[in-house]
Amino acid sequence: MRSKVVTVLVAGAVAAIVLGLGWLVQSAFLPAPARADVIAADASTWLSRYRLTESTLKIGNYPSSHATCVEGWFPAPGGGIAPGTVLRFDRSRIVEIRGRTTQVPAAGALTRPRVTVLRVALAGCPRILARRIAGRIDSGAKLRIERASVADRPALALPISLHGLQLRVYLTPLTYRPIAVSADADGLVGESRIRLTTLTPSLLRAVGLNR
Amino acid sequence: MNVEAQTHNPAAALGASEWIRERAWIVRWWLGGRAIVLAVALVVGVVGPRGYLRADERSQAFGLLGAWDGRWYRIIASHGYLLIPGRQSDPAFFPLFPLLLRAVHAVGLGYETAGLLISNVAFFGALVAFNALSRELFGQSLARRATVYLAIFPLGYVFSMSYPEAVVLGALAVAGLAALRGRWPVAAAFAAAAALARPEGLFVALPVLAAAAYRRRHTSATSRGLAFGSAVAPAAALASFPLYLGFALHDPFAWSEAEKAWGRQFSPLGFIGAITSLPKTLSHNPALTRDVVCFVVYIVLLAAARRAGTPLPWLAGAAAVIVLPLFSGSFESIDRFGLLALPVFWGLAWFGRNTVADRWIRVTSVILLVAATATIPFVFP
Repeated sequence: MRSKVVTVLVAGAVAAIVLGLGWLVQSAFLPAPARADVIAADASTWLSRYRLTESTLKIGNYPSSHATCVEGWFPAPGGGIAPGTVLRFDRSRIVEIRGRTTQVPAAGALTRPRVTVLRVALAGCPRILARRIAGRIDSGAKLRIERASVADRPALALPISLHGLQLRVYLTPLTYRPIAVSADADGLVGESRIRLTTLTPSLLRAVGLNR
Repeated sequence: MNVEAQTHNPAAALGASEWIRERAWIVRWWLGGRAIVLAVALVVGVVGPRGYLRADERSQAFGLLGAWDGRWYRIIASHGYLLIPGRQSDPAFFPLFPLLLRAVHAVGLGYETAGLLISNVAFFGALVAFNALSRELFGQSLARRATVYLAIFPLGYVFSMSYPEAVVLGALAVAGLAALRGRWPVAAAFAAAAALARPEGLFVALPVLAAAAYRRRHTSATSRGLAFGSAVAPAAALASFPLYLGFALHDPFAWSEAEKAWGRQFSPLGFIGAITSLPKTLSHNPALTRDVVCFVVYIVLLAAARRAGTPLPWLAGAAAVIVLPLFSGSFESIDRFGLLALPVFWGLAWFGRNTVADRWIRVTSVILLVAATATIPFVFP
């Protein structure tokens, strides 16, 4: 009986030593991820949880406008359904399904290319931003996090590039939830407040995508 | 000194120089096999198609051998682990190889060079240890054939890549050999190292446990404890990884979370899913044919290994290495996973027991090794 106890105790001690040493070696010799990478990963995680963003945009001297970006599966032009993005700006729409983009401008809407590119970026489509941020982390590029403020409240700014634009995604300082985006297109500056929203059937109907 | 002692302690009995001379043939086969892989990688890298490789992987002479997962191991070594839920991220990769990369990097080598150096040197060690283990289990003739086949095995180009397979192979062989010889601390250390480098390392616990059980009546309680502790060591080492991830990323399940994004999610019915979805998967990804063919070949070789007299615990461990990944719902990378099923090479050596078969296996292996190495830009191992 005593020898069995000794056997079990020694075996347990070996296991405990291996477990402890394994943990110790990893902790001592593997680098901790950079803080900017962790913050960017958290921001990307926030974005990838949502399929709908509602935003308020302000570009240069143009009046403020509202945007809604929905990402999901939509009826495709060739039949069936396909993953895509529907962007709605007040009365105009941009639909991207299977890589094909259709723009439906409303009368009197802003249609200048530079403005359109800015609006698309500032709409803060969650999956697009999430992919871009995660791609930057994957690339091994050194990310930078800056102190900033949004509506006079402290925030963190994460600079990334999207569609050739220099973008800043603003995050809450504690949870790293994205709350705003700013962009600069050849001197034309825009900013938006974004609200990540859980997509519900009623919201889908409200944005005219109830099919 | 009796015969058993000579077998068990050759370095002491024959002297270091004779010990090395006796294994000069291993050096030759190692050099030959690696020369083929390095030469093909160099040629394909310089004049071959770019395939799916990144520009930076094509910019270096042997960049081909640092491609695919090699890049992830370098990221871990240089930046540490980082989980990005829903995205392919690095906690899916085990920590020992990045730790070795860091160690070699610390003496001034770049991560790319370090990866190639570790793998190729470790593979030599693995061949020596595998030969010793095979001799202990089957005698010199089969051991020699198995070691030669391992040196030029078609999928063996992975042993020259910046992947942990060569390190794990060596650790498995040393752990098994040490267990057979009753050297439990060595068995524990190498079994733990194998599990810390690849999850397949866990299955070396079966032969170690069998060796511990075999010797239990002839040893003291402390020695028995050490023996059974060696069998538990791989599981303990494996557990240290989620423990570390829990501290570093505040998520002990980061490994399985990351595996999901890599398309691997284990379920009891995953095996059925892997089989039933095979036609559809093959139509999308014809390269998977290689994995399916390798799976069938590995199973046949395990049956041959049984005929050769491979002990059941080794066979059970090897079967687990080959079959368990199917429970993640995919055949993907089984060609590479099977490299860590040592009985596969014993089975191949059983097939090569007459001269004609032996020559045929050697020639075919070399041709396939050249062809397989040339596929690196297009097919990840």
